[in-house]
Amino acid sequence: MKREYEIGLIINPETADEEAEKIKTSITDILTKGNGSIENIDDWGRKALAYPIEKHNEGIYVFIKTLSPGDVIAAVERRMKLNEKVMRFIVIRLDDKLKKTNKLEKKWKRMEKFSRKPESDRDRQSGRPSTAPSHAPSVRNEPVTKPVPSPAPSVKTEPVTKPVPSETTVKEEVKVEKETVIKEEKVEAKVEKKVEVKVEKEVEVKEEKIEAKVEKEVEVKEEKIEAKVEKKVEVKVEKEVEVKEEKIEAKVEKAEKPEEKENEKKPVKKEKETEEPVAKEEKPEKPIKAPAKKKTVKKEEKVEEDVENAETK
Amino acid sequence: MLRPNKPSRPSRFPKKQYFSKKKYCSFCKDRIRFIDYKKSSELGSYILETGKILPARVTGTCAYHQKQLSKAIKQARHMALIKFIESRRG
Repeated sequence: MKREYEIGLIINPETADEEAEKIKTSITDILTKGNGSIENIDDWGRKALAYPIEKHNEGIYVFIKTLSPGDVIAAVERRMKLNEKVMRFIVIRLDDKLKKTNKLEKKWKRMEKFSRKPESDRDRQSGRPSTAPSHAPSVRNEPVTKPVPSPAPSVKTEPVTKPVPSETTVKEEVKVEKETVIKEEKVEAKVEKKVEVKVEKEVEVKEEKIEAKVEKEVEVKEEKIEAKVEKKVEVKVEKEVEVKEEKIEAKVEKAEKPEEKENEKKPVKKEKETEEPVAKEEKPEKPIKAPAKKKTVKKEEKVEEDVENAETK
Repeated sequence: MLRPNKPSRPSRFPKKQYFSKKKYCSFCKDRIRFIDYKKSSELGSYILETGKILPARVTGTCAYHQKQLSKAIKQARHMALIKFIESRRG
């Protein structure tokens, strides 16, 4: 069992350098013979002592590091005790001092952790606010920007906007705004209405116009046409109602999907949007045929029914 | 928010407040595994002028290193690297 030792010597300064080396070699010989290996030899030379030893103020210091079994070192100690020229000697086992290094390393790791923690926390805290505002304004801007074009666009532009899903708004809103600027001029000339006005009001206005036209033209033809049209219109209206219901269903399904994603404001507007094109489709049909009064009365009822169906669906 | 501390209950004999740096083990700071008795100049800062070993509560060394230090100082004294006692009269 080899262990690491350090042997320290203080040799009498009156001895010659050659004799001091002989003492060194005699010790190393004993170590090497007993399966020991010499790792390092420190010669400090003559050095002043901190206090006088045997009335000498100087000493020759020699330090020898060895890996050797304990029996050999006991022999070395015996030899040094008998030697009169060695004033002091010391033997230290270096393994003893390295025994508890594991505990020390654990302690040092703990020290590093406590020293590093506050720096990492500061970085995380500084990173959080930078990420948070990036998300926040995007959410806030969407509801603010959308309602601005949605009331403005006239009846014609709305079918363009309907199929569009709500999330891809930014590019499409720009298109809608351009279209609205062109179409608003046309619409203002024709209709002079606000978009917020409900379907019933629009129909009432149309009735007044249609009445002015129809009363002049149709008074002569009423007798002939009424007989024909009452039969035809009932058939046509039934077909139209079926077609419109299908359209409304398709539109309502599209309108209901974004409801889940977005706020409550948008679907309310789209319900209005669904009502308005229905009124528009009625426009070209009315002036063609004379008995518009009957149609409008019937269509008002139907539109109400459609709206109810749309709401229920 | 810096809030002014509430004045504690006025005591008739107020304690004196001493301010001092927190002590730490200088050997642990330098990551020294064991203390060598041959480096007498480093041991000098843990010895009084009279040659006494300073206690750990004064220097702040940890228990592990204080044990080694006291042993190393005694070994250095044996090898005439440090004085046992320094007489004041000179």
